[in-house]
Amino acid sequence: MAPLKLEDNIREQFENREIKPSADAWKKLADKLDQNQKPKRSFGVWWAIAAGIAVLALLGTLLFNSDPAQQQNEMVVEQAEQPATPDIQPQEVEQIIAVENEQEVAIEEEAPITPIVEEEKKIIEQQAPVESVVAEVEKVEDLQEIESKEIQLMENPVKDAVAVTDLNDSQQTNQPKSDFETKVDEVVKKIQDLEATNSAVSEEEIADLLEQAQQELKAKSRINMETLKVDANALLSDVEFDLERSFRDKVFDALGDGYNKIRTAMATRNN
Amino acid sequence: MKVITLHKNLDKLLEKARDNNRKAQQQLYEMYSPKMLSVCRQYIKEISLAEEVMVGGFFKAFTALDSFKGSGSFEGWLRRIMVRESISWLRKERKLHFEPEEAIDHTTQHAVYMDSPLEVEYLQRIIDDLPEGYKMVFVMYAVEGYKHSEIAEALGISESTSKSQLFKARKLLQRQLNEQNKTSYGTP
Repeated sequence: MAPLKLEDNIREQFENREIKPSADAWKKLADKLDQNQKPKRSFGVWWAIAAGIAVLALLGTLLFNSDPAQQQNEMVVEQAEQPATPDIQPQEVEQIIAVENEQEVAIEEEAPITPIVEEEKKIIEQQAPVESVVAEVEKVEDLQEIESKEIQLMENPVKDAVAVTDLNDSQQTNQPKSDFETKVDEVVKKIQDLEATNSAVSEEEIADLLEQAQQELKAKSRINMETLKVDANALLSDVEFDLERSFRDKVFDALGDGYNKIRTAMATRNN
Repeated sequence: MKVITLHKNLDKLLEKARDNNRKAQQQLYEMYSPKMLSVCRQYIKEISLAEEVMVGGFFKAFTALDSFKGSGSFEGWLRRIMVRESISWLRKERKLHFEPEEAIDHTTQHAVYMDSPLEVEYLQRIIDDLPEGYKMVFVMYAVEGYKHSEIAEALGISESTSKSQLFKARKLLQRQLNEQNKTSYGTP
């Protein structure tokens, strides 16, 4: 008999050997497997819950914000349209206001100015505003509406202005006040007269006098009574008013268009 | 035919077990646990501890069933898991230590021979008596059929250490068998 290798013997014996495990070994394994699954499951469930909440929140915000979002979009269109059509008009208005301010400041600064010859005054009264209008027209050339209006207004005064260009600048700027000043002097004189006759002058009397003077000034401002020429300042204010109106109308038109757009958008929204 | 149906059944069971079907897993456990406990018992003397390691091995197998591609036999895959589990348990228990290398005497015959086949209980007993390091390498090499390179990798030792451990294990076993023969022959 050939000698037997121990290792072969061991392999054969061990390969076929079976040892029955104890009864609770499977229970242990099953418990282990259950424990391994539970955390995974609960983890998945928590993830599912979190995802569900996130989706609900997203849907909620989308639903609640859908209408305002559409409206906002429409509004954006409107805003884009508004500046497109009236374009230069706001600028124009600003410029006019700026010119006015300049004149006012000039008036304040030059209050104590000596009276000047009447003819010069008249010419210069027209001259100053005409210049400002010319400046405006240059700036707003592309706006046909305004241009046409202003050119119409300017035609006559421009001729005068050309005639007066040789005059001193200082004199030109001084003029608009002298009228006002003389009126003030008149009122002061009247008050002094009243004081001379009556020892006490009531506030009402002074107020009346001031009102009278103001009305007179207003009347004068429109039409120069002596030359019967239209005051450029008054015309300018008229133009301003017209401009304001046309601008306002356009804004309203734009708003109306926007409203119609929103209305159609809302109506066709569900289609 | 029987083998084919068995194979088909195993495939079905494995598929179900992959989907965490507890019954399928239990069936697989009942099919293979006696053999797997035997594997663990080769390395771990205490049967309750061996069982614990086996349960751990099955747990790892069932939770990593996807990594079994079916290229080899499922039993072979399970056995390898059990061997690995046993090694890591012995490591954890600090029972694995390998004696320094010893020059292998190539003149002596390495294989251990015997006259008659021995009972498995006796074989297990003489293996149990081997130092852990020797035992590990001997069982892996002689019973499980690992190569030295594989043993070295699994145990984190050099190949020459693996060879040295095997050599020493054989020497000890030879001595044991000789002693057993003497006592058996000596008895009237």
